[in-house]
Amino acid sequence: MSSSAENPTLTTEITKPSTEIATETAQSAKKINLKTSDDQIFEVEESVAMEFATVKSFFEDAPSSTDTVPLPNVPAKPFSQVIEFCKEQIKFKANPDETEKKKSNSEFVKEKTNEDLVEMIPVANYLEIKDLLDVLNQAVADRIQNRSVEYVRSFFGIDNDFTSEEEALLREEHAWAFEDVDED
Amino acid sequence: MGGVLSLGGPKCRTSEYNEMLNNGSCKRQKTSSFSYDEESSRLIPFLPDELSIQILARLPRFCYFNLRSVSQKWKATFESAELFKVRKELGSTEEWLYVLIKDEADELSWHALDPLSKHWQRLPPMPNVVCADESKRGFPGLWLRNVVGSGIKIAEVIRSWLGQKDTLDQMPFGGCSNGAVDGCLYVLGGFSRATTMRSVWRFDPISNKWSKMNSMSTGRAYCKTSILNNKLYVVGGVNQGRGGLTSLQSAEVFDPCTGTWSDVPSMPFSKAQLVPTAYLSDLLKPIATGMTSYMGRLFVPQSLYSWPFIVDVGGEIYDPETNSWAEMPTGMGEGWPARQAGTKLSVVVDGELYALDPSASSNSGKIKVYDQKEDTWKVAIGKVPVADFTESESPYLLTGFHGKIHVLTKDANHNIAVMQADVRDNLGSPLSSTSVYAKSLHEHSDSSETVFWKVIDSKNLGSAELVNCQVLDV
Repeated sequence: MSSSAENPTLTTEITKPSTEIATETAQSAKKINLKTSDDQIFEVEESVAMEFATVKSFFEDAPSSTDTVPLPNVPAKPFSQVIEFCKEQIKFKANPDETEKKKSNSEFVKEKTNEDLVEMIPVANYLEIKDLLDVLNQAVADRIQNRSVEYVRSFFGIDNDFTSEEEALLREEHAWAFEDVDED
Repeated sequence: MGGVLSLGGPKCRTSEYNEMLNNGSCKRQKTSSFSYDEESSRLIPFLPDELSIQILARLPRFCYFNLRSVSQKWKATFESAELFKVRKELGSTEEWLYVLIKDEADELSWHALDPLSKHWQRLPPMPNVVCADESKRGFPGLWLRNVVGSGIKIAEVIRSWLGQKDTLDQMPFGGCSNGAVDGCLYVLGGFSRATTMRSVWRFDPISNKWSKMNSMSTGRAYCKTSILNNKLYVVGGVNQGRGGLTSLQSAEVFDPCTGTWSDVPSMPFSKAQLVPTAYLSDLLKPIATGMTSYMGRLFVPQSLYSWPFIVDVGGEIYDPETNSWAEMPTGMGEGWPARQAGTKLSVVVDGELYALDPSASSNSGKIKVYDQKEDTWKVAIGKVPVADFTESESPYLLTGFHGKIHVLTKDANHNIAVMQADVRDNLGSPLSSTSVYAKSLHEHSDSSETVFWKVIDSKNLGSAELVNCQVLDV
């Protein structure tokens, strides 16, 4: 998997006309500069940037814009991973193969830490990348399913706001209802 | 040109957590600059609730009951309709099988099977109370604990009808009927303190609680139920009046959206009018022996009965479009399998009407399918591996679950087994160790079809008897 976009670079304007937008080999395609909340600039192929509905509508409103697009809600670290995902995704646009796409998606999330996944969720939501958001939500759900209450609390950093009596009662109810289930 | 991307508009559901992202914090630890109250009131501190709900809606439902203990907010969310709406939108709802059993002490209890995790959830007990206005008028609002019944003669009638031996009048909810509509389980009528109850109880799997609904217009035990157009229909059954037990021809319908009951025309029972003498017609009581929703109408096989005899007399069909009853086709009515069994033995799967036909002579049974064109019942599955059809009062139930026929029975070890019928051709998958091989006896096919009975799960519930089962997709 290419990671060229992971190194933010300050670039000069690229003015070559883009004839092919959504091909994976479009080396000469138009690039778009996106600036993250921590002031890093990503040079992203237009075809990838158009995967971000938020950015796309920005260019629809201002078609001739050549400026750097600021993304004030997007930190660099999750953004680089989001770009990685979208680069893979556009390959399947030209050549739809659901099985391969699923495989690619599951490989993508497999390599990510819990923190990577949850950091990407608000970014994917802000940039309106529905496919990625679905993949991330499912991946997080998969990681907490069948886990203990304590595990889930520490996964998300949730404070226990039950009294010990309330909690004991809930656990008692659970043990009664699912008498043969063990926690992890 | 250029400038800052607009944050307005419906696309940006993000404003409330922009702040959080600008703080550069998706981390677990709390950020001091962020409002503690706002974060702590969320499901997940660093995500807006509408995103968190998207995650929770993708969890298997079986996890919910345990993860209620994560925090108050999680508990409230798992018990909220909102989360379950999202599950519906995502298509992540799960069908569970709800099984009503009667234990050695004649207590009724519900157990839900999650076929994915193979876990069984015990449902909270049905409220063991009787509404005062049903047994003793003049004490409105007073709830009496249901004690052992007064032993009024509840009739050979029902006993013979269903092969029940005793204690019927003592068992709370004995003879109750069940239905599943709009994501909830319903328990209707039944006996209590030797009266027939009008009461209706609803179990909501979201709140995991029973609540009392509007009562039926008539007290009924052993009435037949079915779902049509997302409404719950009840028909027939028996009522305990001053003059003893009478069989009912009346019907009514419950709309779960409004929570109200409306009258449905009574079954005309036209066949009963044909009984030759007044003496006989007085003696023979018409009863509805089943009800199945099929092709947009309700199909009710009927019998005439006079202890200890029961005579099948075809059946009638209710059409909600015309709000009227019509005669059932002869072949359908006369051939309807196992109508007297009193348990749930007819089911519609994939638009086809099936019924289980237990053959008393052998440890097997057949599942028949109704052929509308020829007006006959044909064998669909020639062998149903049921341990014993005769020993137990209700040793088998038939249901449609995950789009397939399922039979519930007790296996040789007295476990309750849930078996799925899988129809494949001979080139299909090999037998698994849990499959019971049964060759279909398709009379109208080239008999190349083979039915595999796969035990999807079994559960030891002691010597409990199967009473009923329902499916909820939540």
